[in-house]
Amino acid sequence: MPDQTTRRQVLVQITAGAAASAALASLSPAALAQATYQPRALSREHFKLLGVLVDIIIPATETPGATAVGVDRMIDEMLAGQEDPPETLIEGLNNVAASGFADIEEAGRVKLLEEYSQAADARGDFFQLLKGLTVDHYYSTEVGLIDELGYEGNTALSEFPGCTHEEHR
Amino acid sequence: MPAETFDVCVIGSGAAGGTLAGELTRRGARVALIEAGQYRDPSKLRTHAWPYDQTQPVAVPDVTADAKREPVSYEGDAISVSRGRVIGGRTTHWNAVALRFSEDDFREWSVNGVEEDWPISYAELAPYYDQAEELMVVCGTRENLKVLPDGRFIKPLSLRCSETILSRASKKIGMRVIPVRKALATEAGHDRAPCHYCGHCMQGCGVSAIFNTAEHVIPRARRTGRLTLRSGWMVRELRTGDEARIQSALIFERDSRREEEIRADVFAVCGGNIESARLLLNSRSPRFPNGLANNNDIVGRYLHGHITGEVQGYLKDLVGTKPGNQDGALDHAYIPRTETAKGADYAGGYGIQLNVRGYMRPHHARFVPGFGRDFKKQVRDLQPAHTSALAFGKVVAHAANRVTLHPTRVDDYGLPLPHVTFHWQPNDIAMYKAMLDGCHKLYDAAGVAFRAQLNGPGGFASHEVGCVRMGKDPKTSILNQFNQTREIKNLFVVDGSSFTTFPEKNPTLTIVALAIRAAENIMRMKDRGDL
Repeated sequence: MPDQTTRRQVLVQITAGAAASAALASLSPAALAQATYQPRALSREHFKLLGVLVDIIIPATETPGATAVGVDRMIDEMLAGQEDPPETLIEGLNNVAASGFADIEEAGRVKLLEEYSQAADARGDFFQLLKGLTVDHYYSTEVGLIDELGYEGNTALSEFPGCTHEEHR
Repeated sequence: MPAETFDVCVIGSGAAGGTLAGELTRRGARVALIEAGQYRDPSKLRTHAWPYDQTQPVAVPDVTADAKREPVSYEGDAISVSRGRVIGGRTTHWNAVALRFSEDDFREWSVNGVEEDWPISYAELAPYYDQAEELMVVCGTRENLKVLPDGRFIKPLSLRCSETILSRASKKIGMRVIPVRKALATEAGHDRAPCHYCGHCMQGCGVSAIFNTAEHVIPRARRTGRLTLRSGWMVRELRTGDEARIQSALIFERDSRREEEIRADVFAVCGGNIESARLLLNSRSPRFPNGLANNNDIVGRYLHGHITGEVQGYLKDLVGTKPGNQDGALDHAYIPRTETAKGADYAGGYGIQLNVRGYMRPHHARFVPGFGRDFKKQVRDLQPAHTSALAFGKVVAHAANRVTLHPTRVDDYGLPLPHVTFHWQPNDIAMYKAMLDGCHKLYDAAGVAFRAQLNGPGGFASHEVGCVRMGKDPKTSILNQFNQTREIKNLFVVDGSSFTTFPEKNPTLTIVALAIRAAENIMRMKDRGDL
């Protein structure tokens, strides 16, 4: 009946809004920054595409993936701070967008990226650049460096123990 | 009241100038030390800041010439040169490798039929190598190698698992891995803080465990009461009037452009290879229209340094092991030059530094093929197995490779830009191929999962030398065996620009040894009334 439906719709909307606000409020400052980030160097479309690409390069596994730790945001901030952002990157994003990337599903996207990774032309250059940036930024985060790679350094030791493994001699 | 006339005016406070000023003041001389840069406080370095810690950005103080205000003009093959702008010069941010040249390294012509012999021998320099190692506090082991003479060493660095594996592999191919020799306090009790193995050496040692003239020489020189340090000042030109004698240095303050004249009995130029040549070229007079002590047109020529090649990889035996803290003091191991094969198409050789790249910034992950879940897992498994081999090769001293004054362009201070003209010679290219081949053979013998050869060749690893060389022949050299210019008796040039030729070994220990020797000779000549 119309009145009940209207009331139900209103109740659903209020609940959804509250949940959304509660969801945002429950995020850490870093995650909030990530969720509300407005790209400065890239267009919205390019930034969204960048996010998809870096998440294919370094996806979530037992540890979070690239966008979860802000790799797309870091790359955009880096580009915003450069006098001459690399044309290879911008043109590459254009090419990927033009290939209808948004409309193909996961398996097709991976296949496209594989082609790029093997290509000897500008597509290959774009892929190498993008992969390098993704790797640099991902493994510079706490998740990438500490959780994923198990880095235990950057501290102070009174002695540096050498190798004690007989099998290495 | 007339301004003081100093005994010696030393220009530049790095490995050469800092050491020279320290030795001269110790021996009773009143020294004016002119340094373009200021003091860089190690406690402000914050090298231990995490790359992801956004609340505490790391500010790396500018300690080299700014590329916008003081550019260098280049022509020829892609290389780069470096100029310090800080008290301590490049000793404020170097990797500390300290190697003696061998007997044969001073005799390239006699032994290999290339280039020229130095006007000094290893035997003559050996006592000064002893003093240099004591001053710099050098760790290492005695290995009894003709190609790399032993010295006065403290406790060596321990070899990591990767270096132990590479040591085993090296024996299969006629190479040898030894603990690296570095001007690094690996233990307490040597008048400086010991290393704490944080791996941040190249960012500048935050505790000054690495030899740094700003921390380990200049304070002591100041305490003699005989050192006048003018930091933030550069020398525009050295003035002779119309004599074959330097009367004064015209200096200017970099910030204010204020000018002053420094008078001294003796002048010692230690600005580093490029700056020392530039200063002589830029100081002209009717008697020296082509630059000081340069009537033979040799100042600026014979620019050379090291050619570098690099391979990185992942050792099979360490893939998938538990990472552990690998940082240490960067490269703990070194492969000295091996005997050049008979019939090889190059003279000289190369040495290899193992694991100089550090572990906190794993950018090498980009070399692992692929992407996605499998790639990510592979990077994790490979991380503990990472190793790098950075090879340094001899570059021939060739007269056409040179620094000159740019004919039109000047920097922010009105000084003509240094114009670098450099082309690799056939010996250098053959050397580069051989060194990469050697690195690959080493990795083949050790067993690597993946490897990547970095783009190259690189030049000069900040080891540029030769532009105001000493020599036996007055037609092809500027300095005599005492680092004294032949044409101007009270002008000495004491830094890496004085090298006649240059082997594969890092230059700093030899620069410090030459500076100690030059100080002794300057004082001896002064006492005799020869200056």
